[in-house]
Amino acid sequence: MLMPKRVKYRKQMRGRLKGKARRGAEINFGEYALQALEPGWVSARQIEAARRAMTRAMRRRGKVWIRIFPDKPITKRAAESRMGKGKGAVEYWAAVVKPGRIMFEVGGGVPEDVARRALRLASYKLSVKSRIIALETAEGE
Amino acid sequence: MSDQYVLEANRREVTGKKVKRLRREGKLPGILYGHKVEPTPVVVDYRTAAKVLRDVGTSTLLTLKLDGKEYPVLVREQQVDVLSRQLLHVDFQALAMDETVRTQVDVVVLDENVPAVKNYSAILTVVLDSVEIECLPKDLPENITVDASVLQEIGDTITVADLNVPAGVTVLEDPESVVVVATAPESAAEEEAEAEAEEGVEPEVIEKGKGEEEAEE
Repeated sequence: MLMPKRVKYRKQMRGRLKGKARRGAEINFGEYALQALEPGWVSARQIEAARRAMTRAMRRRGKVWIRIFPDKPITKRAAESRMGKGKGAVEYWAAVVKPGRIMFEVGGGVPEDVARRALRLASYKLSVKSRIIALETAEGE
Repeated sequence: MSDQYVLEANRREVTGKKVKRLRREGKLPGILYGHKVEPTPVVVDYRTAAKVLRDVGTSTLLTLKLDGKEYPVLVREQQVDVLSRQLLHVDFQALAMDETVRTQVDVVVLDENVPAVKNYSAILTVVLDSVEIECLPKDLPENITVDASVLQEIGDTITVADLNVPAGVTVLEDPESVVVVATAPESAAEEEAEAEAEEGVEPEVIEKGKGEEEAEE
């Protein structure tokens, strides 16, 4: 699963998820993409599950790009522990996703129906609402 | 000058956050600038602009009518809302027809009958989907087409030097930059090996904490 190789600090505060994505909101590599419609944390496990669903659905046709990276450590307190005694241990890693963020792209000559099916299957693995967009309609209207 | 794409614009007095009102009224704010042209905030009709801008690229010559004058322009930037995909703002660069201009032009890959794809199930990866060019406005190409049928095997590439560029156009990219490459498809065995290897890795956090920072000081 994806995670940073080295980090400056072991644990982070939760932060707030305000506004829309400013960067990473355009299709840059492939022809079809999965775009987030709501803010949230997407865990490394979800990203991996989505990637597997896509590569399986595409059966070695085309290419998949993962445009998000889980670089936020999410901690959890041990079960039945009392309050205090410091912050909990890192449970998993997550990517911070804001509305508009392109999470996955597919392309490299893959037929449209296959690409859309792969992205739809990937969307079921994620904890944020999303939609499939195509390169042709990404600009203009 | 382009007769194919013509946009009528008016001068715009409203600037800043107040342009929201213009957008609500079905207008699209923009700006016109260029060599020997004073930067002028303009406004165009949204529906006509959206129709025209859908078809034009960054190297398509447009005619912008403003105050009875006609300006040959390029669309330099389009700001689009990431969720609604509505146009928010557009930049027009006025051109002098006797001066060269630098712009990005799209690379269109003709991917039919590619031997590498047919014989080896290669995947065509487009590394450069646009290239920077310099030319006179009259020579501006709509796009540059690349015939990928010369890719015989996996690993074969088409570089910038191989591009079929019209006369009068200079490509400003490194001639050795790869435009298209035929890459091998990921094999099923590789995928599984990757997945297994990933399972075994423990979350390792190399902390660059106080100790190191103090040592650096």
